[in-house]
Amino acid sequence: MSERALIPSWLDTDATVLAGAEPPAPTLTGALPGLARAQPLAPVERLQRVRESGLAESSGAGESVALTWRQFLRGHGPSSLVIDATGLDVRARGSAAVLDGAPWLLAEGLSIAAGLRDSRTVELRLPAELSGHEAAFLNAVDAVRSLAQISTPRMQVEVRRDRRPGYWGDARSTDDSRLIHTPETWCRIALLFAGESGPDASLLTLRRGMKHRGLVELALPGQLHSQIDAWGGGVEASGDDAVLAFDDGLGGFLPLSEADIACDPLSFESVGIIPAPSSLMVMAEGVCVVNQTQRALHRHWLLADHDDGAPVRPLLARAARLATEVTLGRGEPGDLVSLDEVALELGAQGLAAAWPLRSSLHHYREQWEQHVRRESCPEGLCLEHPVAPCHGTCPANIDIPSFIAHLGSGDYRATIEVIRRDNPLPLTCGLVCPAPCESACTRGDSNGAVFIRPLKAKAAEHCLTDGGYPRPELAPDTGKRIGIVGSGPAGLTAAYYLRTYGHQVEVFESQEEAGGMLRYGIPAYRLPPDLLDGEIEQIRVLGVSIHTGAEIGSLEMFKRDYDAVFLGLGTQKARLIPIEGVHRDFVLGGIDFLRAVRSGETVRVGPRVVVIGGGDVSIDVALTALRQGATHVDLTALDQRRDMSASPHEIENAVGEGVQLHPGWGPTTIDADGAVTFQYCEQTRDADGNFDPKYDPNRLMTLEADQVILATGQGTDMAILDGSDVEEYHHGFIVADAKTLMTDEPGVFAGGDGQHGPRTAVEAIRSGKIAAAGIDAWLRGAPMDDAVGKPVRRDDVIPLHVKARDRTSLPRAVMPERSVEEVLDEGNYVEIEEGLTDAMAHDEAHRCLRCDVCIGCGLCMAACSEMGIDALRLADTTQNRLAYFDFTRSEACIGCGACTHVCPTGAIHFDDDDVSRRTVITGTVVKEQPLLTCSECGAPTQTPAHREYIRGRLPDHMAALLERELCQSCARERGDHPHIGATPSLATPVMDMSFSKEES
Amino acid sequence: MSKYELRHDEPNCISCLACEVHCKTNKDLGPGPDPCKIIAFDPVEVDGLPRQRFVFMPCYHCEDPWCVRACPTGAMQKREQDGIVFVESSKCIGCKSCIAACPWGTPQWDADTNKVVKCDYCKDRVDAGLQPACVTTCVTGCLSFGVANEVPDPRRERYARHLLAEESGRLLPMADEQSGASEGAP
Repeated sequence: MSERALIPSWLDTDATVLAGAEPPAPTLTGALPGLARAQPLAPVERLQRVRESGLAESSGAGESVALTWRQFLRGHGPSSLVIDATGLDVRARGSAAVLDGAPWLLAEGLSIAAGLRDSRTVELRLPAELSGHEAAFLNAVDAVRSLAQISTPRMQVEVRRDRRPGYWGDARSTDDSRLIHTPETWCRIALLFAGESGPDASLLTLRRGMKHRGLVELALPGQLHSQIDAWGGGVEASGDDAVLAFDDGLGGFLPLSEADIACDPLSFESVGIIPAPSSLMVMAEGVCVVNQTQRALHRHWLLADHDDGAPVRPLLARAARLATEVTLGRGEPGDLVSLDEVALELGAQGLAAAWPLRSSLHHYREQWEQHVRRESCPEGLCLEHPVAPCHGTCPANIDIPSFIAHLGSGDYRATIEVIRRDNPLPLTCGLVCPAPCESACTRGDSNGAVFIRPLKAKAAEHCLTDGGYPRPELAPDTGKRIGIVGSGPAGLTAAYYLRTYGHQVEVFESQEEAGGMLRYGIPAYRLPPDLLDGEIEQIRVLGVSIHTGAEIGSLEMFKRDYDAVFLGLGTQKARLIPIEGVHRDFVLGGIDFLRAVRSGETVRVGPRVVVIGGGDVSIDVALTALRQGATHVDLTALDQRRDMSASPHEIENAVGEGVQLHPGWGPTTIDADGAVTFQYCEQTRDADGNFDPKYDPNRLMTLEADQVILATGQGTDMAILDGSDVEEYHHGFIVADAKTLMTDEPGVFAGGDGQHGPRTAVEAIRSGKIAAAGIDAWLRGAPMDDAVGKPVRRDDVIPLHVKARDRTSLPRAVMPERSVEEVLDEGNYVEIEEGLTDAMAHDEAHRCLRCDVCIGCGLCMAACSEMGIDALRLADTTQNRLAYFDFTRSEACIGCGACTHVCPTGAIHFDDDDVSRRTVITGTVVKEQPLLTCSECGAPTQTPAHREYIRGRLPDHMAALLERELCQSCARERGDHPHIGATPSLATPVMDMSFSKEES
Repeated sequence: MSKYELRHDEPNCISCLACEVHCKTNKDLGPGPDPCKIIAFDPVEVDGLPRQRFVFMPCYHCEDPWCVRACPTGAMQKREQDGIVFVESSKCIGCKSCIAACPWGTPQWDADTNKVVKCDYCKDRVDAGLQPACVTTCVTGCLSFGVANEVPDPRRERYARHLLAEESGRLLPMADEQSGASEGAP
């Protein structure tokens, strides 16, 4: 089935924005046939026409258009017509496609309805994502006016921007001065009157998980399952129980196996999902629907987060809170009953949040029950506290929040201690790491990720100038000897951890100096050799001996001397791509070039150099070439700039230093005279993401060069393995067990670039750390610790005290860099980065949101909302969590403590003294208020605001007792005499004494 | 008020605290919260001798409870069929408004669950035809429970016996104490 057939003919998906300006026919009757046929009809006749058709709203609750019209017709006074282009799923394309591709139909539908009550205004509600899509419609309105030769417009068009969808499922008809329809429904009204198309279809956007993606038309009488199969091959996600998620999950969930239902609103309603969905996504079998539901419920709460939503927010909050408690493994069997009740209540109130909750509780009951019993989560997402995103993303799994907190309090030694539990090279990583942690940083969704990378370098520099890193605890000597081949990041890391386990470690390096790729592959302007020396020395002092200039000829001979061997061979051979002319003498390998420069050989290039690559190495090569005599450097890459594997900041730097960037070009030939010919690469990957470049052979480019440097790949010199059992990939890397990194030869382990292929330093560090644990376990004959290679909390540091204003608004630090003039010169390898100042590092540490403590579950916000206070606002993030970005919005806090009691981690808590109460979120005081004390014993009781809150809920005669201001135990001690005023004397008998005689 | 009555016959109470212990056991509570509590008052002089007095403080299950009105989430409820006031734990978010509102400090804070817990006359037991835990295990039988008008008041009964005893000029035998309690049982 071709893509065309999936979209109705009235919708022109190729339309440009200006399309609306061109009438589809030269006369008004021709252009608006539906209006022409509607004009003779009286309003009730038009209503009758709509009723007979059974037309339903194309999104949300799918209510009958006829019912909406009838209610509208009953109203009096000025009225307006509303085009509501907002939708629960911002990625649903229906509204955008209609606004762009059917502006005339849209205008026609409105014109037909305008005659119902002589409406004078049209309101177009646009969400932020559709900004700009109003143009075609506005053009069409103007064109209609000029066709009809109307000089003074009878209808005003108002565009309301940045609108968000409502949280109501079916409240479009509550206000009888407005007639509200989606763009699609307006078009279907026009089509109905024109007699062109039946109303029994609805636009649906197919998203992730479907083989065919994009807009299709859902036939309402048809079966859902068979239509899904028909749309370009059905679902991509495997398993019969793939999960259908409607409207991005906000519209509910349905197992594919239950999808044998008709697609009309009533059938959808009966299985609990949104009656008129606008998008469909399919998730693989085994996705955690409980987690998805919890997210959806929080998002429904956020939709109601404005003044009008106040009456329904507590109920939405309860749904979100109960679902969250279940995902966190704090659920009780009673919670499911409560959730059922809440789902009913949501439905009864007409709230859209009923759809995800009701459908998920119904179709995925077993998952819910497993969560409530704390047994299992299909994805392993729930039931435990997630680690901070940075911590989980760092390949070395450094406990980033903990070290940042130490740094912020100025404790550099503790900082380094925490980092070195997972990464023995904090300075190196602080200078050269591409910092995947920062890409994961929650704060990236607010005002910029925390600048984590240079903080490590800052702490390391302080320690190194202060006598060296804190010495790690070394286990007692085991008497085992381990030989390590290669002193790159993998070898050094393995050496460090093996030494801490108590083994004797010797490292062998074939080059003149230790450091491997850190020394010979990274230019000195990024990692100065003296700093690297300083860091390697910190490993040496533990008793690790490093033999440089020591080539190992054969593994067989070498391993006889040791109990275990680690091969951290690295990738020191440049791999040239097979193109014509690649073996000419002016063609160099990127890594060979860098090594020659760093070894101190006299290498001169230029004046014109062409670098072919696109990764980080190619940037290093280009900038090094500029320092070795080149005056003009062209850098070409197969990928487009946004897809290049080099980090964006590095690319910017290179362009700043004058490197000419040519993205999207693949080399074909290198001529003897230095001319390099390229052809344009249209795409580098096929639909499945596999490397499969497609070229345009007619689009060619030629660059002149004195030198061509190919930074197109690296390989490993495997001569050492000759005669051993260690296996190689056909790609030329060593095969090792994924968990322990042991090769096929017992006692021989391998890691780093030589094992996993050329990657970053921090990934080599990860593999060195895993190999060390693997070797240690193997030597002890014990199984390897499961936690190795996974994020582990290394410390439990109290969050820094940061003022709310600072915490909210401190911007990300900008790295001070030397100017191009200062750093760019022949032979000038001055560090480009100057490093953060102490004050900048201090401020940066205070920006950390402490995602290890606040896991972003949103329970506090939900509890506060259930109280009806709404003093807490977490923002939705691109991670699977919410986050506090704004700490200045908690003025309404009454200090009741509900948030502190539902918080699973103590991230939000009270800091009380005798007279005041501070509400603290991860170290930041968001509200301080006085605390009342018991009139009898003087113990703190509650805040005045909380007392007022309770007073407001009680009638006067009951509230009067609050005046006593007693703590709970004094109130109880008073027995059954709840007096107002003076305490009764306890000396007088408190009970009837008439029985006393019998006892005496 | 609830339709039930939980009576404490103060003169017979020896403050053994078995009621508190069994209440906690039944509700699986730690050291902090005491849904029912024996409050001891300083000795008062009775016929020239000092005497300690004890007041049993469960919940009164008010007709119009402060706690139910103060609760913002509807967790604190009054059961329609018999007027028992109880907390629905999944709705409780721990704001402690009920604790502050109750004139007798009856709702209790359970620090283990971070929710409020209170005397609900062991409604699960009552629904199963049993007595509340405190009554079942009261050592001296000074606690009695039942539908309000069906339970004889031990004080009244004792007073009547006392009057009769005075008339006949003999003192009340000790065994009468038990008769009051056993009649209280259903």
